[in-house]
Amino acid sequence: MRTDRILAALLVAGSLAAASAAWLASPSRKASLDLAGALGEGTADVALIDVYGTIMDAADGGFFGGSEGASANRLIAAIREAETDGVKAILLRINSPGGTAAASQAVYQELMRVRGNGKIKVVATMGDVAASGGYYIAAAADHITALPATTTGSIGVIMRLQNVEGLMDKLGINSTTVQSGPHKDILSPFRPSTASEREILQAQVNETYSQFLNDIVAGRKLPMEKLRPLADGRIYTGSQAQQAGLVDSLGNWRVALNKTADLAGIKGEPTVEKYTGGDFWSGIMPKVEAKLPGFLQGAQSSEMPVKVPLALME
Amino acid sequence: MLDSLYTTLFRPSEAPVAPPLRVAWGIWFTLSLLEAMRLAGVLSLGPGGLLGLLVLVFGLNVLGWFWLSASSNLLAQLLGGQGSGEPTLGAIAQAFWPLILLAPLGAAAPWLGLLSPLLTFGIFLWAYYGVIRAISRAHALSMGRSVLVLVGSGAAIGLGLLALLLTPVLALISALA
Repeated sequence: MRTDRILAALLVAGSLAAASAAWLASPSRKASLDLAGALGEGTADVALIDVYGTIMDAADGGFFGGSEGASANRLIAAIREAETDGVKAILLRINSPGGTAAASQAVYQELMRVRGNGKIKVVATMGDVAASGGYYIAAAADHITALPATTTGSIGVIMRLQNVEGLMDKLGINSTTVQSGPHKDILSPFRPSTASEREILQAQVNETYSQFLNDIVAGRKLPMEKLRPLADGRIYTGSQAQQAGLVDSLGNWRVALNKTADLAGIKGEPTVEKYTGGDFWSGIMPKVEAKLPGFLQGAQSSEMPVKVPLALME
Repeated sequence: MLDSLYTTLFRPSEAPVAPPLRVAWGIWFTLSLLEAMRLAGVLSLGPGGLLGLLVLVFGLNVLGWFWLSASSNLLAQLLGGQGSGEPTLGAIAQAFWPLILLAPLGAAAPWLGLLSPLLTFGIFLWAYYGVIRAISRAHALSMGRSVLVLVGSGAAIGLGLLALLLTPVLALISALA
């Protein structure tokens, strides 16, 4: 390569490096709701965290963003980041039908840890739905606000098993299983479950249900004897939930924001910073997927993982 | 593209009169990327914001390039120029290469103090001198006539922008009257 070309390439590379350094050295680049936050001027009072979609332990989707649902990992990371930034309160905006038991529990535990430190107030506000796992997460809040028409409740654990043996017979397909122990294929859809298997599964459902109830009792300071009759899996409207003591007040998320400011002792209009979403790819990729179904297959999924039978939703 | 950059900055007399259009597109993409990064730094934007800015800056740069080239080509031909549209596009894009120096200058600005705006002004003067020279070479016009072409193009662009701004205002006034 000629010297002049090398010099020109070095000039382009140097210019790109200088521009990159100027960009990367800029202050906070988080998505923000308020001008102060957008300009990176100090920490916001309230961290807004959206819990939208199915709650699950989903891996980050790399360059194309995370999963479409509420990834427990992403939520926990957002809570930690808000805590590190020194926010006064966390406002959870929940619109979720639930998710897997473990993922909901993980987010609940993280919120309870933050709440237990006593420095940050946690408020949950419910949108269309905050049922089952969605309610599990809300139970970790100091205060829960719902809309009168919100669908909530559904406190319970469900495990659904399929038996496609008849269909397989019709199709002429035989399945053979080689396994190390009698219960390794406990969830096999190719044969009916046995009584002992159902007993094992029922014990697991009961144990998870018990954890769910204990966590609600701990989060809501609700007596178990009052909670248990409410927790038979039925759903409630926001109004019914308030009467039952599952929700504290009625109103939209702005009302919840005011309540958050009250609880956190924030004077005047609180500054709010969004800790989830706002990323270019997470915004545009669902639209790409809508136009080109299957484009992100594998990278993103709104479906429940098939190998996780224990769910807090229906 | 590298030859075009080197000769434009260091050996202007050896620079091609009008580089191919693919080189011109490359020049605008490079300059737009650098400008988008600078703006993203000022506005504290993330990768998504940078990408949005890149699309916006590239779009505006290309629009300005087409507009300046079209009006310059028209005026140059009216003043006896011999060139045509495509060489004018390439020549004008190449003339803006000095703007690449704005990126390192921006990064060094905190240490340059008052020298920074002066150097920025100098770089723009260099770029516009390059445009005059490019028009002169692409259309075989004298430097004096090329200055007239650039001034006339600037006036045309200014009037066009004014018309774009005033049209909705006038439409509103006439609707209300």
